[in-house]
Amino acid sequence: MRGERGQATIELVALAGLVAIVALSVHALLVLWAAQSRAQGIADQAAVMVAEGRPIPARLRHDADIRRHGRTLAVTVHVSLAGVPGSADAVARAALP
Amino acid sequence: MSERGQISVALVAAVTLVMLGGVLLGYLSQVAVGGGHAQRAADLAAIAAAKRLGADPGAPAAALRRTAAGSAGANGARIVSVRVIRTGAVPRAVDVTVAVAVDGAAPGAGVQHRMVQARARAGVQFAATLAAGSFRPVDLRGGRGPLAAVTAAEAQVGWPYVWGGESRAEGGFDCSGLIDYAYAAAGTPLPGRPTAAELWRMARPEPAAALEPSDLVFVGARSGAPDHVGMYVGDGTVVVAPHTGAQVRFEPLSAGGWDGFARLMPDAAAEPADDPAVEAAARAHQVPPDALAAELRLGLARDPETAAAALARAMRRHPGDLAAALSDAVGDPSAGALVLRSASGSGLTGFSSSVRLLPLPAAPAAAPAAGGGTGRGSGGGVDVAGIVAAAGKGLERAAEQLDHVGGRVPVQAAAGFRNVGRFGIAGLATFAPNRHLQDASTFFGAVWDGAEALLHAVGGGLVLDGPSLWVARLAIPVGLGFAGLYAWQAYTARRRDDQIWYGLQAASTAMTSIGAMTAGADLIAIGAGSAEVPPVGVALIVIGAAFLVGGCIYRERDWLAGGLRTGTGWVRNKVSGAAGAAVDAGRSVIQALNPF
Repeated sequence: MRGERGQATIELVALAGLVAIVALSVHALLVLWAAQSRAQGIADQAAVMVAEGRPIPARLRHDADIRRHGRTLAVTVHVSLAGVPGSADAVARAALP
Repeated sequence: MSERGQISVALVAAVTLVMLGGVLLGYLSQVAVGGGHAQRAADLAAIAAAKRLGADPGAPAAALRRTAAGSAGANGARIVSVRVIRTGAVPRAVDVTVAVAVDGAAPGAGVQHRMVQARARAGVQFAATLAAGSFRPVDLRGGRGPLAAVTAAEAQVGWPYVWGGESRAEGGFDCSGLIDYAYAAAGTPLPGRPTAAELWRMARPEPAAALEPSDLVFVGARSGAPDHVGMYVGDGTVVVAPHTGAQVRFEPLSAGGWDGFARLMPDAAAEPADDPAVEAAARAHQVPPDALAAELRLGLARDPETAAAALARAMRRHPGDLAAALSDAVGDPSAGALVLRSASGSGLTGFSSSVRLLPLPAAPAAAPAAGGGTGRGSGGGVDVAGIVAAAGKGLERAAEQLDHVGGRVPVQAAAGFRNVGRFGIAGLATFAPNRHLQDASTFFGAVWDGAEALLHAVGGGLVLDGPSLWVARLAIPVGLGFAGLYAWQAYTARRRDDQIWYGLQAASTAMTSIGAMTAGADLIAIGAGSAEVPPVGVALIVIGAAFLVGGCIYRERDWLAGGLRTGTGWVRNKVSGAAGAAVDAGRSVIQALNPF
């Protein structure tokens, strides 16, 4: 019985670690997914505004790095991941008319 | 034992749920991105077409479609339809529908495409201002000669008279300035800037009875140096900038005290006359005939008389500002600008347009039921009908949204759920808390893979592309490695059961890997976008899956037989002897299949 409990504890620790790693990975995926969605959304809005000849609102510029290269609008949203040094970038592009 | 089991079950469930959630979210994000691409492509294509229309309101439909297609193509879409929404001949908006191929490729799901459609509408608003430093331009439609001079002079009706003025920068026209402008516009510029007296000397006198449109009429000609001049425009009418405080206007020939008549412009070939009804209405109401004709041409009015009267009233409300008067008269600044452009032609430099995305119109509301049975509640009670209507509207809206989104979901979501299910089985085969459940999961996974491969074999082969191609590239060497490992375990195992179990696993993994390898060199070529496993390879994969199924049955033969025995007893007790005999027969078959 004692040996079984010890074995159970080892399993618990191992699986808890596994759960933590998986949870962190899923969290990172969610953060990246949200950033990509945000970049897409900003690219959509900014592309429409540029196409309509309107200025891009400061609100959008605050949230992302928006650059125009010819007829392409590139939107970059910087993401910081917990426990990961540096930052990742979510990039979305739109072709302007 | 029970403690271990409980802990393991909870943790395995948590890990599996987190993994399933992650995979599901990944697929949903794919769905969202696919739909977003379509909507963006539609938005930008509609804006592109609307801008083209704004620059050229008469642009043909084919040109608009080309413009929209170019924009849509740059955003990965193709045009389904382009429709210009007009009021009369005035374009208001461009409605564009595009289609985007949403890629449903996923490991194990194969390649599936679906065209997702999105629709957008971009409105176009026109604006026009008249330049301050020049006469109002007029579209003479290539005309030259007398009628062109008449048209140019008549187009200035409504501008204020300013002595010595020859441009709007100076505040308007004087009499000779109007003639000078009209002749220049008609392609017959006069030397210098002649006064009325100089015009009289330059012209050839004609009798009043011989007057033709564009001939000049003078006051004070008997003195040899007339001080006032107008232009005869036909039908006993003169257009003239009369005096300070008045505006350029039409006057009857008989009313102005004209005593000299002369011809300055050489006779021209017969020219098509303007619409007499339009000319008559314009002269009667003192409005520029070209603007009135443009209004009718664009379908903004039908009756010249009514339209001329409305324009005259608007010109009185906006003296000296024909652009504002036209907007007022037709009740819409955009249409007014377009009328001015149509009348003024390319000389109108102050013409511009702006484009904005518009919300798509909602579906028309259902007509109220005949009789209006429930009606609105009275006396401040609860408005049941209103609540029901609002709820119905909400449901309708939700249904629209579901329909809108639903078009994008099936392909990818189906692949997603399918793979989530397969991943779940694989997870259980690894993490399930006891060997029987692991083997059962392996069994069902192998049946799944075998059935899927069999379907592909029937379909003529299995195409690997996208993620599934990369999974195959990675799985083949790993599979071969595991085949060797299983073979080694089978060779070194002491128990016969283990030898057979590991041997079947080795055979299964090797067959599956070899089957996938029949796809050939495309598996190795990094640049290859897809690889096809021929039917013989798929058959090997099916056989490999069958080996694994057989291995699971063999390893769990005692467990299965025990289960059947339990089932036999239960059936015997609860149902009937006949059913029990059937279960007995099943048990006998299992036992007969068990050679060990």
